[in-house]
Amino acid sequence: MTPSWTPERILALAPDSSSASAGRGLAAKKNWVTLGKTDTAIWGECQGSGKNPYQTRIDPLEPAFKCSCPSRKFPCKHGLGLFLLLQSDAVAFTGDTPPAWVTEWLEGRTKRVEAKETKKAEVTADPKAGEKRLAARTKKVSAGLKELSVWLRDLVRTGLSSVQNKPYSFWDGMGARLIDAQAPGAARMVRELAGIASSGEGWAERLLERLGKIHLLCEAYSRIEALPEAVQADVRTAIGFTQSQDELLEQPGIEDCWHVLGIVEGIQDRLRSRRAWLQGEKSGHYAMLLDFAHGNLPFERILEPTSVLVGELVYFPSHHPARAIIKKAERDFESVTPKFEGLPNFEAVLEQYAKAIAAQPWLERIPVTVSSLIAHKMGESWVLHDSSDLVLSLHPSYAQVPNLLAISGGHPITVFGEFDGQTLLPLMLQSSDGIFAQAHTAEEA
Amino acid sequence: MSLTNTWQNLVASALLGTERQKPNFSELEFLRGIDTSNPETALLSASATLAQYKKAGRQTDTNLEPQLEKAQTETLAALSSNQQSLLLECLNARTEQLSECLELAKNANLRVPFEVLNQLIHKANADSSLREQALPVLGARGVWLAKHLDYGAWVSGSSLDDGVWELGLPAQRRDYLYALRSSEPHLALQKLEAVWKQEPVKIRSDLINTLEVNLTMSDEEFLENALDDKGKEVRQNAAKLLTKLSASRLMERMKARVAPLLQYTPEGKAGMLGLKKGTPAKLEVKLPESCDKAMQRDGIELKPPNWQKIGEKAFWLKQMLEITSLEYWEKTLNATPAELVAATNKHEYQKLILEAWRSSLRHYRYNLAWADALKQSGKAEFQLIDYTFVMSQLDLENFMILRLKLANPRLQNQDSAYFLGPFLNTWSAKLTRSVCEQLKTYFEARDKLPEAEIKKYNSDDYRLQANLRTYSRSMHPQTALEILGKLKLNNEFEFLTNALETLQFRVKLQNAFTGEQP
Repeated sequence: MTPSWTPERILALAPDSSSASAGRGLAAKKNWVTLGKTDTAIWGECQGSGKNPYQTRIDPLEPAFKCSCPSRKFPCKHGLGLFLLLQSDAVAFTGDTPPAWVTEWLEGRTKRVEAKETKKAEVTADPKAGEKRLAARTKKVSAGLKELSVWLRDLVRTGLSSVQNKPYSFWDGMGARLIDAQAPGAARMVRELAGIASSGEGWAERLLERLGKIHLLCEAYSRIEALPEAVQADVRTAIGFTQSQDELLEQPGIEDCWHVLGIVEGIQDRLRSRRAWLQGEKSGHYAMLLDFAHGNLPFERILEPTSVLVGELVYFPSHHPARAIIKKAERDFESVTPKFEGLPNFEAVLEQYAKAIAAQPWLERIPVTVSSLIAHKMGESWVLHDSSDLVLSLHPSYAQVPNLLAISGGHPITVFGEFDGQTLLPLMLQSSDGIFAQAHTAEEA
Repeated sequence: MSLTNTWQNLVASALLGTERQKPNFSELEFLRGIDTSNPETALLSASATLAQYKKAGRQTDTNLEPQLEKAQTETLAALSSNQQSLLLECLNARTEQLSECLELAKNANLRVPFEVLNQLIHKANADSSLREQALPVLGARGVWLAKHLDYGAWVSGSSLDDGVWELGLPAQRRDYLYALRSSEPHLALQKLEAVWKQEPVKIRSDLINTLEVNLTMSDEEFLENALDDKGKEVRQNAAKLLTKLSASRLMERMKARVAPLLQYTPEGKAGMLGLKKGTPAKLEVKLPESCDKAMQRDGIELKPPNWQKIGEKAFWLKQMLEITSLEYWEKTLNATPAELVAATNKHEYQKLILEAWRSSLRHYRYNLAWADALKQSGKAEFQLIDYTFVMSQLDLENFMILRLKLANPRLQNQDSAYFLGPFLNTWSAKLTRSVCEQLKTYFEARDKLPEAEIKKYNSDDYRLQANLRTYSRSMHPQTALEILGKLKLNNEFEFLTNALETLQFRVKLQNAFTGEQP
């Protein structure tokens, strides 16, 4: 069963190094009161400091973990320990009849999937109700964006010189009205203006740029029917309409061997977000999987850089497709490392960026791979220097310059990362010694 | 040109407001299609388009400065992925095993992989005790990297960058001088002398201590002069260093001062010196009359601190005895340590003298016979820990093994041999076995007690808990596991579980580096 899991791969699932360490410690038979396995589940009872042993169970296919311990980490040390123990000492798993606490969990998981499907069926069963909801929302959004448009014009009529003295509520109020109008994407763009107004030198230019971008969105929405379908989708996404994932999953996807190249995690309030960038081995296409999780809950699927998913992804409709969802995919451990072919220099990066924003003006960043980059110190900060003597700044929140230096040693490396039009955020590096993931966590993403 | 102008026009118009300044963008052809009937909408549309246009046409800077020099090729092989994950575990969670892990890597002629270098350099920068072990495993890349990190100075410090001495922070300069003292003590002294007069007192008192490394008589002149320094701390530190040079002028003066203060008369033998047979040996003690300027210059304090209940004269004597080597008394008074200690019996100043001698024993690490004599007197507040000053690691270990036979691990007072455990860096299998057998008996006995009793005992044994933690770092792990790992206990003793975990980890670590299969 699951012969391709190795201790290294299991430990890569650990949420932090102390969990990994504790997990290793628990990967010994003596810590477990009972141990058992079937084709669909692994389970064990671990004697902790409490009176009752913790009940740990794993669905090795996904993998999915569940434990009765109070730890908020996921997977917890017991899950990791149990999984590690299976690899090192499978014979110790003598139980072959899952106890009730395992079967209940498995049944619960199947039920949840079924419930999801029933719900899906219900929604599709009543297309009229759906249409009605959509019409009501469209009306609300139109009204909200009209108000926003008036608000924008008022701003530039009276002049931006006065906005620096405006309280935060000035921006937040408009944002809140857009939330009420069910246009959360537009609301976020408006709220971001508050920070720009007080961002120091050059603020007026930056503010005007942003106002222009919001204006463009209002204008586009006012004549959305006239736009090509893919652009319509981009406008809707920018405003904050969500795309029904169930509908998407009906669409044909792209089959490939998808390499996870980089992960950016962010947190806003209690909501954690995760952007995972993938690249298809055959197509060379990039795809971004966006996931959210509340508080300490785990993301639905465990993804880590350098892992590989074999299966089908469906892109969200867009004039510049980037975001995708998994239609069906399985982990593959036998795959080789990504090809990692980069653009020759920054000129090519800028060209790609120009093409991308021409297609999708609200785009915030594009994934790029660039070869032959050398770290270079300019003044107090580090930049990347390409083969044509062009330099590009690193993203201000990039905290791994020392590691980038250590891995490159002053030699040229290939970098995969996000480019936002100004700076590069490296997420994976390739040197002659191999491939190195660069974990990145942003305060707000 | 007109692009920038137009953009600036738009910004100006937006700042002032379209009421006051109408936007003008007619210069740019691609903006001419924009409807200008409403100035606000026109301004926003033109800004959106132009901003996007600028963004798409953005160029990056060119750099023609020389590039970084490249790191040299490695001569050592990198850790295997298993070794690397163990090292990471040490760095992140098991810091106490980090130094052992580095030592193993060094002995196996391996280097730390590139992606771990930064973390290790950072860690060893914060904890200087790790540097010696970290240096050999950094490899060429680590040395290269350290040059570019704010916290990597200690690495290049090994090549002794003179710039640090000229321009570094006080702590960096001190580290530099320490390092230079170990390789070129004379040069270090010259460097110190060259800047001595212009340094402030605080820096002087700090830097002078670096002379403790490779201290010889060639430093004596400098230190003797430092006794006249304006700063009290500088004078004190100089005096302290001079006491470690037995041929220093300060020590000569000190000997001349103490010589008349202690007189020893051996046990009387018939016919000898006219004494009656059986007259007990006698130690006569005279207190110094005064503490003159010269004595104070040599580091003798005039007033005792408030918390010491001691007269001034006694205080002067005590200080002088503390810095007089016990070897000196043995020779001048022509008596054995045991005889001299015994002669203090019932003396008015017995406590003072024995305490001063104990301090001297620690200061000069002289010697085992004195340690035994002081221990046997039972009056010197002598503790087993004092043996660590005069015994080699091997002697200490044998001493422990011998005494452990009589000891009860529950009696964790300072007079138990168990207390010495932490002073041994690496335990032999023999000592480990000896201690573990005792611990085994102890745990088995404990395990049989009712639950309530065990809880009570657990709180009693806080020191055993702390010691077991220290032991598990130094014990011979295989031997310890062989005994403690096989215990069949009904109760869980958390501190034992933790110790076993450490031991198991150490076995794993050693196997990973020595190539043995677990």
